[in-house]
Amino acid sequence: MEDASHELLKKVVKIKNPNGFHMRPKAAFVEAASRFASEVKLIWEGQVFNGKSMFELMLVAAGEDSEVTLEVFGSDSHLALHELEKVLAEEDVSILD
Amino acid sequence: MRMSDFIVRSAIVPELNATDKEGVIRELLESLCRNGCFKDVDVEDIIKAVLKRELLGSTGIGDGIAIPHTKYSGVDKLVGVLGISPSGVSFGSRDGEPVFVFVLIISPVDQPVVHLRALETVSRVLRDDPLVKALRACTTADQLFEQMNQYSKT
Repeated sequence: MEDASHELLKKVVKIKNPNGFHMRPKAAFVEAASRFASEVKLIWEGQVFNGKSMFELMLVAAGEDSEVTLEVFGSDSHLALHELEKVLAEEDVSILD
Repeated sequence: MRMSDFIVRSAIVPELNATDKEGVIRELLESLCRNGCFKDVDVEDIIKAVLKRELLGSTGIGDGIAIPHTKYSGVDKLVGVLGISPSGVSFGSRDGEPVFVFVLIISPVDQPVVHLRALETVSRVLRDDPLVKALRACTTADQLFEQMNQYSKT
C-alpha cells in the first residue's frame, strides 16, 4: 500500500449527500482512514479534526453542498486521499439517518 | 445550539432498567411519549424506526456513549432525552465497550442540518470526561439536567 512519497496532499471536497456528512459516512470514514499509515485530517469551518477519531468527526456538522478540506500526510498519502475522497463523496441516503 | 434546546428535562431517565439495546431505546422513547413529545404518533412506530437505524450501524460512538437517533415524519421539532445506565448496556459500540450514557434524538425529516448540529452538540459536550463521570454520579433527572447545562454553556 505504501507509495513512499510522504507528500502532504490536500483536496477540497463538496458534500453531496442530502443528509450531509452524517454519522454513517463518518463511521465509514474513520474505518477507512484507520487502514492507512498516513495522518488524516479534515478541515471544516477553519477547524482541524483528526480523521481517525469518531468523536472528533462527530463535531463536523457539514451539511449538503458544504465543503471540507481533506488533508493527508504520510507514506501512503496518495492512496489514502483517493480512497477517502470516495467515502466523502458517498451519496447513500436513508430517511432514518 | 445547546443541549437544553432539545433535551426534554422531564423525560430524563436517571436510572435505566433496560439491559439490552431494544430495551434502552424503548425506555427512552416511552419517557418522551409520557411527557407529551409525540402527538398522534404510535410510539411503537418510532421504536421500530430507531431500531432500524441501529441495524445500519450502531450509534455507540465509544467511551461509554451512544446517540441513538432517527428522523421521523411524525414530529415537527427536534426532541432528545438523556438516560443513564448504572451497569452499562452492550450496544455494539465501535470500541466494543458497554454504554452508560445515552442521548436519544428524534428529528423532523426535513431538517438535516439541525439534526447534524444536534449530534455535534451532544458529542462536543460529552467528550468532556469529567462531565461524563459527573453525569454517571447523578441520581435524579434534575441533577442530570443541571450538570449537562453547566457544561453545555460554553
